[in-house]
Amino acid sequence: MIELLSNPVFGLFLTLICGSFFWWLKNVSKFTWISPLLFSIGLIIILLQGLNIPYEAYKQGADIIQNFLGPITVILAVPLYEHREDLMRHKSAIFIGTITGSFSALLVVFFLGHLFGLSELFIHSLMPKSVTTPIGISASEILNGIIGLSVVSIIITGLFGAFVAPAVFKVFKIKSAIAQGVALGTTAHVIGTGKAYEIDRVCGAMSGLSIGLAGVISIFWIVLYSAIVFP
Amino acid sequence: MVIFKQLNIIFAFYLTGEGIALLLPFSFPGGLIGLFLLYLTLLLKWLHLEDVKLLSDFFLKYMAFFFIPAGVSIISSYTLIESAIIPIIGVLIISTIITMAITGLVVDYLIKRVEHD
Repeated sequence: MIELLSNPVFGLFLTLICGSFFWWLKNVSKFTWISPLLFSIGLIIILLQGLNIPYEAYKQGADIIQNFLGPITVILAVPLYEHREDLMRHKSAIFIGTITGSFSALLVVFFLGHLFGLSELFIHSLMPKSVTTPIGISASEILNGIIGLSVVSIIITGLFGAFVAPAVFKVFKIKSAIAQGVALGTTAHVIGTGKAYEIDRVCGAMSGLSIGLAGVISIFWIVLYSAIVFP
Repeated sequence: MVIFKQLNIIFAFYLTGEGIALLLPFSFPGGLIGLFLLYLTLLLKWLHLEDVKLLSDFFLKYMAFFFIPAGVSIISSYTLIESAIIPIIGVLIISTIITMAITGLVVDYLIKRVEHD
């Protein structure tokens, strides 16, 4: 049995079947709040644990899928290119917004983590939480974080950010669609962008280009930080 | 064949990025260097959007699928995380609100200032 489960196609198949089920469910149902990603991760963990399948066996096939994250990072150039005119029109606001936004994301996690007594390992795993997943995984690798924890915290941040955005914009009186879009994209990456498109098209476009921009800028902050922490 | 061609282009940019990353004196993601190179190539019109459009639409639409294995990898360190789950959720929730407010306020301020000028 273990020979069959260690076949790389097993991990590939399990991921594909869980993924297609939850993406299908999201499409046919009215449950727009479903995160197919979070549900797929949960179901696969339950199946592996429940059926006593060693994680190492699953990993054989899962790694094939994970190897696409690098090329996917390259593809993030396309939406940045497509929105280059929106970017140039408000370049100083967007650049300064994503630079301060991604810096504050890292700084706040750093201080709150220490305040809550989290270990260095956890703090470093949580620091990439606002960065879009393919870039966030690279960030977690640079910081020697727990990659699984980084990914789950990126998803939780995205879901919570999209949920809390209307309240934050109301309390802090953030009214312009551009500001709302940049805030959503910088904080809650792709999931926030979905929310931004519900607000309006300008907000969505701003959010979409902020994802890649904030991701790139965050890496610069993180490389700088790691140069200080791990000399 | 179109898909093969577009995959070749993306993989070539990615591997070039990784190659350059190896030459750097510090650790930097190769995929991000590939991103810069592709953006530059599009900007200089050496490549056109149609040359990567089909593949990039697919990957951008189903990007989250490719994160599943990375998320599942949390089980190999679950016992480590279990004891700290409450402070971790606390950090995530509070920092998300603060980051979103700071980013929004900064951009809102800059846009209002431009409109006043």
